[in-house]
Amino acid sequence: MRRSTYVLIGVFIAATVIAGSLGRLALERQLSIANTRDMVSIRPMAGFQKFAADIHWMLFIQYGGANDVDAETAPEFYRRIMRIISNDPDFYRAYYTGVLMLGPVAPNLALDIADRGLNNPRVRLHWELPMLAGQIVMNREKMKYYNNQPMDQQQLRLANGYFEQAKNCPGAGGIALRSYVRSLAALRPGDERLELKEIAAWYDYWQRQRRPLGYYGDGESNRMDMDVEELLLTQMRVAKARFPNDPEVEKLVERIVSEAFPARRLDPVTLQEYDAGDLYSPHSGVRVNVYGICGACSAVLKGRYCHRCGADSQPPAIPSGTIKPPPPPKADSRKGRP
Amino acid sequence: MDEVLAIAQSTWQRILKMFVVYLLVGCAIIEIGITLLYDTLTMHHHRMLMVDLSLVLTTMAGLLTVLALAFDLPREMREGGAATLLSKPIGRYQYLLGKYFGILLVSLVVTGMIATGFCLVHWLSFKSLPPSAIQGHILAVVQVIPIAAIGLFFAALLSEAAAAIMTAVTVWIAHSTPMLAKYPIVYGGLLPDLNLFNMRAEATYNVAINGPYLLMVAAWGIAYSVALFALTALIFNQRDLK
Repeated sequence: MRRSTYVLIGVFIAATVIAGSLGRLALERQLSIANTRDMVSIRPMAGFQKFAADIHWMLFIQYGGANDVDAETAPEFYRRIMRIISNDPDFYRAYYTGVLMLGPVAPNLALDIADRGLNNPRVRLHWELPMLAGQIVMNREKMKYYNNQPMDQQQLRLANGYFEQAKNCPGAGGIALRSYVRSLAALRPGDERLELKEIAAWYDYWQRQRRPLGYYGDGESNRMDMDVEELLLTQMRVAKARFPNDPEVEKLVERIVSEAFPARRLDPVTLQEYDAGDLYSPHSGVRVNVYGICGACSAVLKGRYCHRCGADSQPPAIPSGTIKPPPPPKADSRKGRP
Repeated sequence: MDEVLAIAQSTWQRILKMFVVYLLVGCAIIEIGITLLYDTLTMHHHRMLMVDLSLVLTTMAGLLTVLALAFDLPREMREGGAATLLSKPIGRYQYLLGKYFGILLVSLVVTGMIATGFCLVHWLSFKSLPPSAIQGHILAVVQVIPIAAIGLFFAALLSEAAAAIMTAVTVWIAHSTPMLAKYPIVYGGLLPDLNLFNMRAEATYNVAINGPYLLMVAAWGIAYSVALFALTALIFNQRDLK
């Protein structure tokens, strides 16, 4: 053999070994970037799976525009959605649209799509998907409740799990938290009405989230940008409006208001706040406990000193150290006193 | 080296002088721009479609350009052009190297023009250009390095049609080799993994494809091309030419 042949064999072996090593390293790095690659269909499509998903998406839109979603067409809708997400598992809009369209007609198919999305690390960052899945499960159970049938605890726990996932997603809407607490209420034991359970669930949630300095725990309020306290109050207002003069509601609300909001000036009928100096609630007209008026002339205070008579609304504070405690009695041995 | 460059120059000059190449590149860029009209049809996913379609067209253009080599080299050997050339003091591997560099340059120019056209269209359409889309296109352009080596391998062994078909089939199958990743040397060394260049989904979803990955994949492409070129030259040296 010629010398060049040996050189070529040497080059071939060396380059093959180097390429083999580099290929494995590159594959590992690729899978760390494309962390959903293992979910992509393994059909040999020359890497055009994403393009196929885009084409199927457009075909799905056409099909959806031409056909109603009913029991007959639901499997075809499902098949088309599956075809899209098997080629592109990160196609969030396909999951969302599929769950939204199939939810009322074929809830099990819709939940299957939702579960596939929630197993995807990129898709599960969207709060709407677990929210929709939770609503599908919860609506079925609520229909049972309104038809005086017992709700399935397992299904309620499933819905609660979906709602919890939704509320923990970044940018989750307030509806996720409200639905989560509602599902907690449905899970509470006892035969009392769901509305009362909801108030109790909100109160429990509020207590769990409360911190001594007024912050809410684990940063949830920051993420959801809402005031759990206000949501609890709103829930009680709704219950009072829906069930006026109901002794059970009144008793529960009274207890929660006295325990949770002792410092807030709330109209006992509407649970709306009233202002300083109000003798009667501007929301319901009932007599309320007056606060923030001058003790001398009854004018509404704007600050510590009354703007009308100048009276100080607070007694002067005693500066510390100005009053010394009396010295302890000493024994006088010369005068024979004790 | 001068001989290699001369052969390479004759190859790329002949192809790049063809008006049809630029016509096809123009058509590809227009097709990319047309995706803007798919706004309603895709339910506002037209930007995603634009990036994806551009990556597909860039890949296809690279493959089609390499297929030109699959037709060119066997024809030269059949018609005796290669034998005439090799009667001069030029080594067979130099001849192959010249052909490889020539077609590689053509592929890089064609895919580069489509990628640049995409960047322009995207910028004009959306007033932005995500880095992931650029990185995805860099991968699609660099992909022609191993594809050209595959094309050269079959062109040196088979007739025109067979070489073109085998090149296309191999490129197709080479996207499914990650399932052989557990076999060292076989995966990546003997069998190519062109799926390493496939980050189309990540490019459309704005997932950052980092620089070290781009360099690693480019290095793999070069190493694999060197290995395959050496194998091609070994086999080509044993062939009887007219």
